[in-house]
Amino acid sequence: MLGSIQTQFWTLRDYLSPVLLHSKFKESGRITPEEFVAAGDYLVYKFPTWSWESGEEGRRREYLPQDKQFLVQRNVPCLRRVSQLAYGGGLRGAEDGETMISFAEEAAAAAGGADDEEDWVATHTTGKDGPTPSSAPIIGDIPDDAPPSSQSLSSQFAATSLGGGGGEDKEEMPDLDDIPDMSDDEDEGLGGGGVVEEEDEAALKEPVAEGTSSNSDNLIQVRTYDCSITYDKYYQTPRMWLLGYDESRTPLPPTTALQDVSTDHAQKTVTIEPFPHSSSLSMASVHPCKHSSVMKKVIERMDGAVRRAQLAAGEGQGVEGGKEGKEKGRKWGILGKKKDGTAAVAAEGAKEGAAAGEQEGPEGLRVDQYLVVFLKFMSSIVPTIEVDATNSI
Amino acid sequence: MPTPLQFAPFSSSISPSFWQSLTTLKLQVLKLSDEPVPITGSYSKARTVKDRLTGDEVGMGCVLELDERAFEQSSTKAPSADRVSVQGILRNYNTIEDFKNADKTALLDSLGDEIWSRVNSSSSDVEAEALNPFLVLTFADLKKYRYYYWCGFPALLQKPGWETEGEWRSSSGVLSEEQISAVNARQQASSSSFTLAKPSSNGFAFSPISSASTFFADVPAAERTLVFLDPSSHASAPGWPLRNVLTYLNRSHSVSEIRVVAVRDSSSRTAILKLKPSEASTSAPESRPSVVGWGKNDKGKLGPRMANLAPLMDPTKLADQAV
Repeated sequence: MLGSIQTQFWTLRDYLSPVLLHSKFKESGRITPEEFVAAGDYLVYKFPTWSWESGEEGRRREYLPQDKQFLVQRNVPCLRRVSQLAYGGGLRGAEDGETMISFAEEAAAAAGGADDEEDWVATHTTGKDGPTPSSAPIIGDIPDDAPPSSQSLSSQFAATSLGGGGGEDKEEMPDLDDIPDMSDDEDEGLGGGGVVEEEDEAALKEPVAEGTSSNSDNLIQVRTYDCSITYDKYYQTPRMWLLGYDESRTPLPPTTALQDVSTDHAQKTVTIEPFPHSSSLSMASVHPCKHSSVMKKVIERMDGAVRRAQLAAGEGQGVEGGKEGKEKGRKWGILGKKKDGTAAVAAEGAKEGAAAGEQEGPEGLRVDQYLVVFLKFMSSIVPTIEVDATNSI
Repeated sequence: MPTPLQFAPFSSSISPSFWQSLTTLKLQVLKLSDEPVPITGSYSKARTVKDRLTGDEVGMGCVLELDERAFEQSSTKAPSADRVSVQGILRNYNTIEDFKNADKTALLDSLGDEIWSRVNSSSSDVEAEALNPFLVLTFADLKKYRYYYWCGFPALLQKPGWETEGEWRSSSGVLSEEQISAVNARQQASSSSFTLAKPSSNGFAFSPISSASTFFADVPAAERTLVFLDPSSHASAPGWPLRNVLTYLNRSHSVSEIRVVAVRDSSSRTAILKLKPSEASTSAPESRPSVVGWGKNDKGKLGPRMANLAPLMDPTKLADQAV
């Protein structure tokens, strides 16, 4: 109930807050709707798996173009649960582990940054075990901890040999009697409605949903997500929404999506809220209250990296000289180690900026690359959902 | 050594927004009618993702997607060059009994008849998309936000079947660079998901599939090529849509050997397909072969599925709608 009042309040606040008119993306990490559209266009152009959507007609925002209300990438694979990453055994190699991304000063990072609220945990990137394994068991609320219960819905369903009705028992609805249970039908040979097909040798016999048939860890269970990015007018940042499908492609309850959120963020930054472009759906969403400050810091770092790369591209070496350069170089190294893709973006930005940069000095990170950076940030929150396609390029 | 060709069947992926649109349609337009409704679905190029934990490439399944745009009749063209739109028929039943008792074999057969008539037609406007209609049976339990559905992707059971001569290989080792770039350019520009190709001075010359007889007239069998956008990421099993197109090329244009180029996410694969020689010289127009293609449920058996949207619905909206 409290949640619904809060939601109403957010809706009102969103309605009343003014549209951001002037670009502040480097200063504040916030963007204007125009910049959101520009960044979205860039994303769609670079990564055609993303596309613009118009959403429901009555729910369009007037400050965004009709056909560019929000961005969607459908069928984003999610190969395993976060719990399998965190507690999984054998396959975990040296690449696994957690590292704190400290966007604050390096001193804070050296101190572990555990108290610094502005630190984000980049899970499972590279390097040794991070400083926070002890924090993992705190999150007792999420049914992630024990793998059998973590997949409770899907696996229980898979484990019970209920018939061809297709998911009747997926949720605990008390009144099942209104509808004749379709699982009865299989006994009468009606599970398939009596459909018998001729033996078809040319159809590939798929190993049927191998993930669901077992509870053991590290089996590949291909869940998919429809990821949407909307523009949040109040926080003036993009906002990520997740809509999950299980291995057999039936929609998952939004709470189940929390299984795919890094345990440090589940139920803190990821909440279930009504999707703004639909009249009735609720989805899991990464709450944007910290987005601008995090984005600001990421952008500052990357901007510097991009600038230096542009300078290097423009003028040859020599930037890494002096005292300051040395320090920056170290930061850059850390950044690069943590996020391979960051370097890719920086390099790409450098490549693109090099031509322009030669005359006017380095241009730095452009605002239309904002969403690419944003996705890197998001992929630290949802480490197993492959939202960040930029590594594959 | 020829191996029998297998096709990766479609599975359906239906977004909650599709069910919402269906609900609106049911309440405002269809009401108690269970007449067929034309809908549009789409599939995309096969995608693979790199499993960051193991480093393996994991292929995504062969999926037909339905979303809220399915009911917009204007949206017949594919949303992007990587996607293919296909037309289908939706039948929404009013009761679970009607849904269960519907004569599903007859429904799939009627689409099979349509395909069969196109497969045998010599007219020049046969398009690959028209050879691959699909069928969705639904029952919407609106009070509980549960949607029962069963999709069918009819395919004619061609006997004898096709065989793969040799192996599926990456196109880059088989086709010339000009040919590959011609294929890519064509794929970006063309609205059709299947195109015929034959070697030409600048890579490939292309033509719609309905002109196979003339286009391939003086082309040696080994150089006849079919380029298509493949929704399957399986190493040796191309996607389901290829199936009826091969049947069509064989029936209407007596093609019994062809090189296929399956265009996928980042690469393409190619193989030479041959009709099993035993009866390769089929002549008399027989009756329609049987039709297969009902979707499997999550247990891998033929059967309907259920999508439960109740947990996805906004609780305040649920409260509003409760009486």
